[in-house]
Amino acid sequence: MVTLPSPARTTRRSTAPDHGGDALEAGVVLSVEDVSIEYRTPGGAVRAVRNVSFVVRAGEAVALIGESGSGKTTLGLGLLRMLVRAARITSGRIRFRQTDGQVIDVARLTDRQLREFRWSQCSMVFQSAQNSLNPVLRVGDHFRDTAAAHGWKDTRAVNARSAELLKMVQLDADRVMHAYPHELSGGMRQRVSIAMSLLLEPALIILDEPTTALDILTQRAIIDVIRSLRERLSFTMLFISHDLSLAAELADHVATMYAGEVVEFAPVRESFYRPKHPYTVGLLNAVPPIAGEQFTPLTAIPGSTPDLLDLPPGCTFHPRCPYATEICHREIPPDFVVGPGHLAACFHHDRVSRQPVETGVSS
Amino acid sequence: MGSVASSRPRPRPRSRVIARLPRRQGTLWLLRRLAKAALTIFVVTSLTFFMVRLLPGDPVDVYVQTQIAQYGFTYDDAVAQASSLFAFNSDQPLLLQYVDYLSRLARGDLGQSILSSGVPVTEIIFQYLPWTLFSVGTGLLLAIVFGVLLGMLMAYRRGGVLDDALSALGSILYSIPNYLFAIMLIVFFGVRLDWLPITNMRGALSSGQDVEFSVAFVRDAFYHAALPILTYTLTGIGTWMLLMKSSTVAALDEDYVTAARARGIRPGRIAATYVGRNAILPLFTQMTIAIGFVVGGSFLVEPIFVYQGIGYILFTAIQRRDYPLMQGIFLMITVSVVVATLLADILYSRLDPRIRTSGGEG
Repeated sequence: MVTLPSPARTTRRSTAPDHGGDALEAGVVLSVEDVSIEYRTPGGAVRAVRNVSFVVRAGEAVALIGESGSGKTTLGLGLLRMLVRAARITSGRIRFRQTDGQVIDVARLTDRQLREFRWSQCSMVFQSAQNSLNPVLRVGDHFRDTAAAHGWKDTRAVNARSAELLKMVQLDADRVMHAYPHELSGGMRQRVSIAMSLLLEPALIILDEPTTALDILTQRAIIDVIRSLRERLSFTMLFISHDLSLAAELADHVATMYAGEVVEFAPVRESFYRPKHPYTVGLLNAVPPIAGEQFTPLTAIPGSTPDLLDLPPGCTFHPRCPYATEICHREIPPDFVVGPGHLAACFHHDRVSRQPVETGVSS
Repeated sequence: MGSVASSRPRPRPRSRVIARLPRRQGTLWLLRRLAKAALTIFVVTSLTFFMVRLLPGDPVDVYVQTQIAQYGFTYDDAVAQASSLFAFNSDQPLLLQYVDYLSRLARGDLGQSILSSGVPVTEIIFQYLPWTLFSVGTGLLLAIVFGVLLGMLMAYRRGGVLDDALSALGSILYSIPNYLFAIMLIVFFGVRLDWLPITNMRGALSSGQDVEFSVAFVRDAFYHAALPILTYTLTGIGTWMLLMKSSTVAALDEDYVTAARARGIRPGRIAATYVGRNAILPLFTQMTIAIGFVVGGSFLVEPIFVYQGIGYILFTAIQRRDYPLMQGIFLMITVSVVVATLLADILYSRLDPRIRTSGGEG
């Protein structure tokens, strides 16, 4: 089974600004350019990420927002080349400015270069960070192992730095360093993971659903920890979440993903107050408002996410979209510049607003 | 940082203290565990005592039958011969014999062999046991080491040709009983192909070779133990391969392995400390139990190779209904299994830090 050979779809080059040749624009740490990722399955190739482009600038926090199955975690793992064997980056470049200023294409690193790149340049806090510590090693061993793998052999210095980071995430460093993972609570392990992601001072930190598996109070505490860490260390981060309120609190830019594509990329205020893609609007209306007193009824987005093996023609969102017209069935919307640094892949971006519309599919 | 809105008051960061870290399992646990072990040994000893006597025929009967069959003795002559030879009285009430046995046992006296009259059972055990420990122990060690390594290899290459081939081999080896394998070795390589000097390889040592610290002794010991060791290794390796494969496959899927790769940790270090060490934990109990069964495992193999270890002696003891010797060997097997299990429990907590704190018996 082959998916949609529509030429328009494959030629969509979008949010990546034209860099003029190969020079990466100053201040850009990560430039994802036209990246597609496929999973080989018995039913055919599933294109979980399709022609995605966006940039992350130094010191910025970009949130990648979307439902389960929108491809956001696949993309996050792809940036570190941590995909499972069945998955493959089929096109595009992942350009990355290392801490020494050198620009590399992550998609083309050799195994050895990749191992050295991981964590020293780009670290990750996993979705299941509570289980990301080896049960037979003490927390301190994890820090020392990681440092040693990147040639940092001075154990005393590593210990000191680790303790410092653990204190920054509000843990009792002396005890935690000697503790086994099972002696810590889920929230504490999450803090350890966050502290460890900072150990080698990477150029970028990816946080994949950093609070999803935690209870609400612990979530709150983790968000505070991340905020205060950013205030102190001002690192660059990309975080992946389905939680819009988290994006609102932590991000400078929000990239909304739908069915493997980035459908809207905007500064955080824009995406909350002036969303220009109906899907972003749908997401916002589906959760309780995070600001303001007024009560708005919650509305679900009608329908369900499309089958990635059998995508609808035209705009992939049109079957669920209240604004959809005939053109949406036929053509793939390009990215329209709808404001400063604000891109939306919707033909009707000028009609889209947070106010519910009466037309279209009933819910 | 552009936060849209959050008027909620943020809780002041406060340092968290780890809840008391519990220490190792208490002495109470150990005492209870020891009492349980002692009870197990007592029950098995008692059962053994009665069960060996339930075997048809007693030592005198067996001896009398042999004398009649082999030397044409009359029944009365044979009985007279037997009673003059054996200090065995089967007329004594069973319960009395049992009490007698237990009271001797409590003093560490396992009694004397009926057939080699006058020789203490302990002496026989100490004479033959080392050979069994040597041969089965070496076989087990080789099986575990190679089985674990092959199992990990299979897991890393899962789905590949090598994995398929090794899985098939492992299943076949796993399903062959060791005595059958021993017989096949003798029949094919010893008799049909005549590659192995099986007659020379019999026994635990060549005649004239003393037990001493010398290269010649070690070589001779290995020469005679080679076939039993090969048998134990090959019939044991399948279990370890398959067990290790499945537990490695599970470990490879663990988040901490993915996380370790993301941290750029070297593949060798990941295989040993992140995958291997966790994958081997579930096998550990199996291993200690296997060590406990070292002695029992030799029972059918040693007679086939005529390798004079404890299994060979047990085999002859059963044939001749040598009650004290059987009881002594069974007692030893029981003790080694119970002690190995006990050690497994205690050592497991050393290997897996999670058990250490959970207390109780888990």
